[in-house]
Amino acid sequence: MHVEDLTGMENGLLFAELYGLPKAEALAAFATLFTSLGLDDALDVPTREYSYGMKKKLLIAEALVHDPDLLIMDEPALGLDPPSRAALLRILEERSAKGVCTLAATNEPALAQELATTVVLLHEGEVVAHGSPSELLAKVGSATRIEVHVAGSPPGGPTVTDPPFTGLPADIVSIQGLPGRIIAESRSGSDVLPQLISAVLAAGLKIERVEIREPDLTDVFTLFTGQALGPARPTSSTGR
Amino acid sequence: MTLPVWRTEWLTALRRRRLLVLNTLIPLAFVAPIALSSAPAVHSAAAFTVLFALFGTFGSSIPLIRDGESGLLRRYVLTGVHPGGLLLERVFATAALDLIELAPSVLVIVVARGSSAAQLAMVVPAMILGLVAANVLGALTAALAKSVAEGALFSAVAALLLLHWAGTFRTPVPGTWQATLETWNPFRPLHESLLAAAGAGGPDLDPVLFTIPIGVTLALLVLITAAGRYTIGLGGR
Repeated sequence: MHVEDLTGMENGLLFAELYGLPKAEALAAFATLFTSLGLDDALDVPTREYSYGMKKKLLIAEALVHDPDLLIMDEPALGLDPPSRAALLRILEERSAKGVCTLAATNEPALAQELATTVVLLHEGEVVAHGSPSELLAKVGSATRIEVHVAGSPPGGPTVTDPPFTGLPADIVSIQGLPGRIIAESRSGSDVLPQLISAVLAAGLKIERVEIREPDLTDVFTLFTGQALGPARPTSSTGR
Repeated sequence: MTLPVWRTEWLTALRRRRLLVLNTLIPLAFVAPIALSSAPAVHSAAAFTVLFALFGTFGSSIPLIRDGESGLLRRYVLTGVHPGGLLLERVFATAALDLIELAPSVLVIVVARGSSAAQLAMVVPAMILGLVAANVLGALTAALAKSVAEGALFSAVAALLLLHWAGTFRTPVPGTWQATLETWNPFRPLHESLLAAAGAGGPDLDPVLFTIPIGVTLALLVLITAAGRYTIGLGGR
């Protein structure tokens, strides 16, 4: 969606001009944006030679150059390298701090949770939930989810909720055995981890890895739709 | 008035040097053997007119379709630029580029056929009018096409039909409805001027020949400006 024979800067100036921005103002705004997004080295390169991520960064810079009152973005962080993603989040946070509205469509719950003041969850064209991230997260409770991946099936088959595991602390509010993993929910975060691991080892199972995940908007989506929103991503992971 | 789209078209054309050279040499390779041969003026002029008209129509239609498919036109319009203004800038830029690329071919015709200065003075405005009309026609066919192949087909059929109605492929029969229609056709001055320049003799500069076709071309320009959103394929979206 660029004029492929023009360089990054020429494309940027073209769209700034179409937005009605004077050239001097556009150059000043681009100087900051291109540096933040890590495009400085590619400004004199025709955009036909840009990678997907570079084109995405240029699009973002072009969209932001005239400091619009309303910014509508579709998957804003898709294809961005981590530094550029961080820069984008910082830019959007600065806009938000100034009270300027940004509407973003995303399949990344972490992005929405991190940035949004209001989240609208859509499923098959319908709104299934909306509210601030904290309001939505309150709907799934605050229990930390600990997944212990084990070799083979845990004793008792896929629906075990009580011991064979013994010595579990009271802060573990539920425990479930599934093929290849045990899922526990804890009221006290990862503090219960030593006792949980001891109990699993005492049951004669070999632990492959442990994932600890705080509830996020993926869980909210699953709660309201009964469907997972892509593979769950742990916030931290340990292994043996 | 800064005309960013017009400037972009020029900048893009200058960047694509290979294409610029090919767009100059290929018409020349077609025109030169005919102009230098003893082919009758009536046949030579028909060949030149068809080439120039198709050159303009294709050159407008195909890039518009390609830019529509890539989403570039939509991006332009989302900036708030008027679709009609955008289209006008593109039509005039591509027509001007066509004129430059075809200038060596015209020069070869004039020199090879020993045309008079008056005949050349008629060819130049006729070329400008014909190329603007061809580019407008290309923009209109681009609006109907859903692919580059369709655009090429629609452009060719529409241009050839208009060339037929301009009297390019037949002997004029005064007093018929076709003869009346000819006087409205923006390609007629192009054909008539090339016919004269190719050796058929008169008419020399005849301003009356241009009056109605210029009016028709201006009306088409107003039409595509007013219906710009539809003409660049974004109508209803």
